[in-house]
Amino acid sequence: MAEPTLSPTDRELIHRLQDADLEALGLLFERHRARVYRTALAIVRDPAVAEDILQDCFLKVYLNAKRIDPDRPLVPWLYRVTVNLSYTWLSRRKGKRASFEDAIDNLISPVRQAPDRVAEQSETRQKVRRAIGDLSLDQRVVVVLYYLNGLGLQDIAEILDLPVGTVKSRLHYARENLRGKLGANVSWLSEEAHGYL
Amino acid sequence: MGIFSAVREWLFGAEAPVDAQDALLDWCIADALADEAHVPVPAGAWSRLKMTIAERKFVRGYGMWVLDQTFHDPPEKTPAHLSDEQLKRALYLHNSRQSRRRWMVGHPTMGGLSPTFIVVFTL
Repeated sequence: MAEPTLSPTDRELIHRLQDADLEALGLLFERHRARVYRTALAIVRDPAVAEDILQDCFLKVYLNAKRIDPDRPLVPWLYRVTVNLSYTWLSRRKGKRASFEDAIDNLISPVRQAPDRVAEQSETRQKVRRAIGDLSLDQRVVVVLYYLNGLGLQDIAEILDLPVGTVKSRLHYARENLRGKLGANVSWLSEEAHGYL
Repeated sequence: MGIFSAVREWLFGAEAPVDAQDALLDWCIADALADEAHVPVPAGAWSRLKMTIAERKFVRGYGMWVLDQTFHDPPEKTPAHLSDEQLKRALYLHNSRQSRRRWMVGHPTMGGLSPTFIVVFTL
């Protein structure tokens, strides 16, 4: 039997998924899992929770397959579900008392990696990361979608179901907040950054 | 002075203009998030998802219900049955409380008129 030379499109896979084809879900998972997981991780800053969100996101794809319009791009929908699940998790967690150590760990470390890996991270990155962690959730989500996923303002507006002006404003205030937290001007960062530019 | 600073000063003079600072801030934010951009997805995520779908069981992790379940804490477990010991204790407390109450309600005058212990002792 000849192997198909072209990988099926999202549209084809959603059609197959609507016929309860689990293999189609596997292909969609393989194709989009990284963006979902990394987005969730950047927002919630906990690998175990990000994995839960990844699973839940694709379960929603599976369970709501009939309601997904195959003619519309799947990626914005996945981002939307990921962001909504992250919001849900963080709002739930807000009510619970997190330990002081957890809070510090979450703000400083992007992922709970081995200590030697964390130790390698530069001081600059930690400062910026801590500042991003201090942003409000609304601003952090926009920052993650814009800087991590490289999405445009229009795309983010569609994902978050917000006017473009609101997204622009959130991004602007997020940057101002970061600038404020990192110093009146960011010139001190240049010393740290010289090795990368 | 770092290479970046030297290049910046050469390009913009001693004071970096706002645009350059904006670009630097953008770069710093993107760089800080770069770690997340390369984090590998945990191995076995697909197997777990497939198993969850196949078995249709709820998996609870970090306060979340997976499998399209509403997000809420499970209700507090309240004891539907008391053990013999608990029942005995509860009945004892109830009865003693009831009898004390009955005495207080039924004998207010006697309670007020009866001599105190110290009076009886003195006599």
